[in-house]
Order: sequence, then C-alpha cells, then structure tokens
Amino acid sequence: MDTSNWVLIASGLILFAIYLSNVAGRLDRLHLKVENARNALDRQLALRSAICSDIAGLDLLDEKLRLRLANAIHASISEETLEVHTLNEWKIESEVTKSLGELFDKDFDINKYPNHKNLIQEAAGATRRVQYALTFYNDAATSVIKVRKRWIVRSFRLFGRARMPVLLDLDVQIPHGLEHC
Amino acid sequence: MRIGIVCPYDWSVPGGVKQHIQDLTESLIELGHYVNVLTPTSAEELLPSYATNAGSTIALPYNGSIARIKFDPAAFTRTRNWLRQGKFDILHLHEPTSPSPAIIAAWSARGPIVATHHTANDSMYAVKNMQFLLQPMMEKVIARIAVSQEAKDTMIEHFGGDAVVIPNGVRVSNFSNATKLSGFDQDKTIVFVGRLDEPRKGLQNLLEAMPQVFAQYSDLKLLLVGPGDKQEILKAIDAKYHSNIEFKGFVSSEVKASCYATATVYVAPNLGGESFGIVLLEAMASGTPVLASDLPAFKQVLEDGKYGKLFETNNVNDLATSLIELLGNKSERENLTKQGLTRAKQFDWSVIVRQILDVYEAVKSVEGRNVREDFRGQLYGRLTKTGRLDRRRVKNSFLTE
Repeated sequence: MDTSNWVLIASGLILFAIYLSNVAGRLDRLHLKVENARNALDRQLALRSAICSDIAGLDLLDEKLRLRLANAIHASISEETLEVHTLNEWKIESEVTKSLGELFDKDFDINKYPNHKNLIQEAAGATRRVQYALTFYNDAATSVIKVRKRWIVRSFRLFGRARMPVLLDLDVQIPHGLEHC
Repeated sequence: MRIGIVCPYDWSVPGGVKQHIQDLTESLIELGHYVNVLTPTSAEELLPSYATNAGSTIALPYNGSIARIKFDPAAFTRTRNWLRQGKFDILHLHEPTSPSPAIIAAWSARGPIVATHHTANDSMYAVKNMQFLLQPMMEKVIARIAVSQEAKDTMIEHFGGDAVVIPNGVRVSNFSNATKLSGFDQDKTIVFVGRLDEPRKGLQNLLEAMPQVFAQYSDLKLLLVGPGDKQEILKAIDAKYHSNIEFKGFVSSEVKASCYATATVYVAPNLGGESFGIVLLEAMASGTPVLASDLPAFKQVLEDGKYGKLFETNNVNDLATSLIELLGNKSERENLTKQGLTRAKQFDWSVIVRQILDVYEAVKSVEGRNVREDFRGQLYGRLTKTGRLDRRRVKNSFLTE
C-alpha cells in the first residue's frame, strides 16, 4: 500500500476515536446528571419528612390520620439516615405520600386553618418538590438508559464502571387538598 | 435567588409566550428575586428595566408564529456576556427548541438549567430535522416544564424523558378590576378575542353560527377583538347583520380586559392547536361566562364544563344552540361567573409562581453551583482547565461501585 492509503486509514481511525470520545463524554455528563438528580431527590424527601413531622403535630387535624403520618415519617427518617438505599425505602416514602393524601383529601380547605396557613403551604411545596425531583431523576435516568442501549456504547463499554440507573417507582401524588395551595 | 430568563420571541410583538415570561418575571420580582430577561427585540427603547436586548433579528416563521433570531458571532458574545455578568443561580429557557436565543443560551451555559415547553403541535418540522443537533443541548436541561398535558406529550414524543406540568398563570387582579367599555349593553354583547384571519381560532364558525343567534336576539352585538381584515370578515356574513358587528382591532392588554368585562358571554370557537386555554382564564378572571369548543386543553381548564359551557369543536349548529341557550339563561350565567372566578384564582400568578420556584429549588440543590459558561467541546475549553469535566463528584453508594 502506498502512503496515501495509510493516511486515509489513520485519519479514519482518528475520527472514529474522536467520535467515541465524544459519546463517552456525553454519557459521562448524563451519568453525572442522574447522580445529581438522585441526590436532589434524597434531599427533597428528607425535607418533606422534616416539614410534615410538624404537620403530624398539628392538633387540629384528625388524630388517627395524624398518627399514621407520624409513624410513616418516623420510619422514613430512620431510613433516610442510612447510607445504603434499599427497596424498602420506596415503600416507606410512598406510605408518607399516602398518609398525607388521606389527611389532606379533596374536602380539605386551607382557609379553615388561617393560623397554620404558612405551615400547610410549606407542606404543599414540599410534596410538590418531591414530585418534581422524582420526575427530573426519571427524566435523566431515561436518557442514560436510552444512550446505553446503543450498540456502539455497549460494544466499546463507553459507560466505564458506572452502573445502569434504575427508574424509580414511587408514589408522589400531590394530596388533592393541597393542589392549589 | 438570581434568575436569568431567555425569551425566544420579539419582546415588542405581543404573544402568549412573551406574556407568560413578562408575568412570571414580574411575579418573581415582587417576591424579591433578582430577574433578568434576555430577549430579542426590534424596539430596544420599549424594553422594561429587567430585560436585556439579545440583538438584532431576522424573522423566521416557526410554529404559526414568528421566531426572530440571527445566528452571528455577536449573538454568542452577547449571550456569554449576559451569562457572565448575571451570575445566575438558575437559567430558565422558554421554548428551547425554537430557533431563538434560547438555543444559543443552552449551548453557552452549564449548571442548573430549566426549560419550559409551550408548544403543543405535531408539525414541529424544524425539530424533527434538527433533533440530532439539539439533543446535546437538550441534555443539559436539568428540569423540563410543560404548560399543559398536550405540550408535555408533544415534548416526550420528540425528545423522550419526562416533564412536570405547570400551567400558565393569569394575573387575576388585572382583569377583575377592569372598567367596562361604554356604549355596550352588558346583557347583549358577545366577545371574541384573537387574530381574525387565523383559521385555527375558529372565527369562521362563529360567523356561520351568528345568523341563527341574531334571529333570536336581534339587538345583540358581536365584538371582535384582534388584528385582521374587517372587509374579509364582513364578506362572510349577511349584510343585514353588519350593524351588529363591531371591531376593536389590535388593542392593549388593558382594553382587552375591558372587552372581556363588557361581555355577556365570551366565545372561544377554536379548532385546535391550543396548548392551554389562557384566554379562557382571562375571561373567567374578568367575571365573564365562557362558551368554548371542547378541545382537550379547554376541557381541562373548564373541568369538563364545571367552570364554563362546552360545545362540540367545529360543530356550527352546536355552537349556535349552546350560545342561544346560555344567552337565555341568566342564572346559569351568574353561576358560571362565580365558578369561573374561583377557577381563575387557582391559576393566579401568585399561585403558579410558587410552583415554578419549587422547580428552581428542586434543581438548585442538584448542582449546588451557579449557572456558568460552558467551554466543553470548544477548542478553548479542551485546552484549558475550565473545559474539563467536573470530576468532583458527590459519593453516592447507589450508583457507583
């Protein structure tokens, strides 16, 4: 082979390497985005537990439902302090969502509690932020999963040692009574 | 919080997206946040103090409206300067897929970026052809907001992933305090608002239905508010009804509020392409009963008829009978006025802005760092430290081994 052929092959290889490096860089950024979104979700879940434990202490609301909320929050706080995440965590956080949903059902009217309006609005904000953070996490995770399914990514192991992100199935429904707070 | 907002369309041209950005910005400023809006404009002297000119533009038709942009080196420099000087905690792009400064901003920045999708339209041909170019920029967006379920579905269809739905807001006080127009009888005025020559606004159907209505109520006035050719409209309707039709032409938002306030019934005969019924909320905030076609977006705002009367989309007879019925039933109108006001208050900007701030909060903690210039992928960036990937990661037992 003469020189020009070698030059062609070499430049082709270099271009391919640049392409691979770009895909790997993009995937790396996406993994970082997922990680950050995950940390944000954890933070928002912890914030929700903190704010809602004040709600559980409000003696205006139904006592049985408050007790259920208090128990759920207690479980979630001890879970959140653990370093390791378990599948159980989602059950516990979903239980917090459900008990909030029962406490603030569609008949709940914030105007009946003028002295606690700020606290209830904060709780509404906390439940919304949990929902948003979960959406953003799943959004990021979906994009990583999509890119990692491509054959070029799989065959060249462009994802390195990063684990495949998991889509989270967690009940984050905003309680009906808090929807417009 | 320091928030940078990028407006895709010309500030001097009124439109839904621009109105959204203006109301959002003013609500945020009222709450004590620092906001700066980067926007193209053809009349710099009319820009409010919180806006920065993104430069001269050329007009490109995009998705039924006019996108204005010029991709020149100066536009990039201006955007980068704006980013550097703003030191924003949050960068909020609007309509990030339209050919606009939003794309330049998404390209030039990194950090907590939020994007709002307004479009609900299947023919986003520009996006379809440029998707592979847009993808890397779209991936920088950390939080995506859609203004309606339809806008969200459109977005997911093109880019996948997920978004939160935060509806458009309305400034209720701007409408509920509007003065009524003189020379109109509040029991006998029907109002239509929108471009007269835009087929999807459905004015043709309303004009076809009107003879039936005029036959019942001969002294009824039809007030058409919006730019368009009068003669074309008058041609579409029998000459004996010409005295029943009044034109207001293009009006300021104050006069528009007065028009709503004067109406007995506000009619929205739209045929499609609406992503959110902001016009309905404006009418409801003015205390005017609403009659609207049963588009998904309208059905959602009116909650299947609880807050306003619905008729079958593109059905002239149904429009005419519903209108005649509503005009003849004062107690139903009074009920809809009361219900509508309650509904409008749920979408007041003071409520909506809190939801948007919640998005900012959820995102701010994601990165913990400000919006900054993005040098990655550029020659300068590849050769200097600023461009390298951020290796300082937070340990997370869940994702890393």
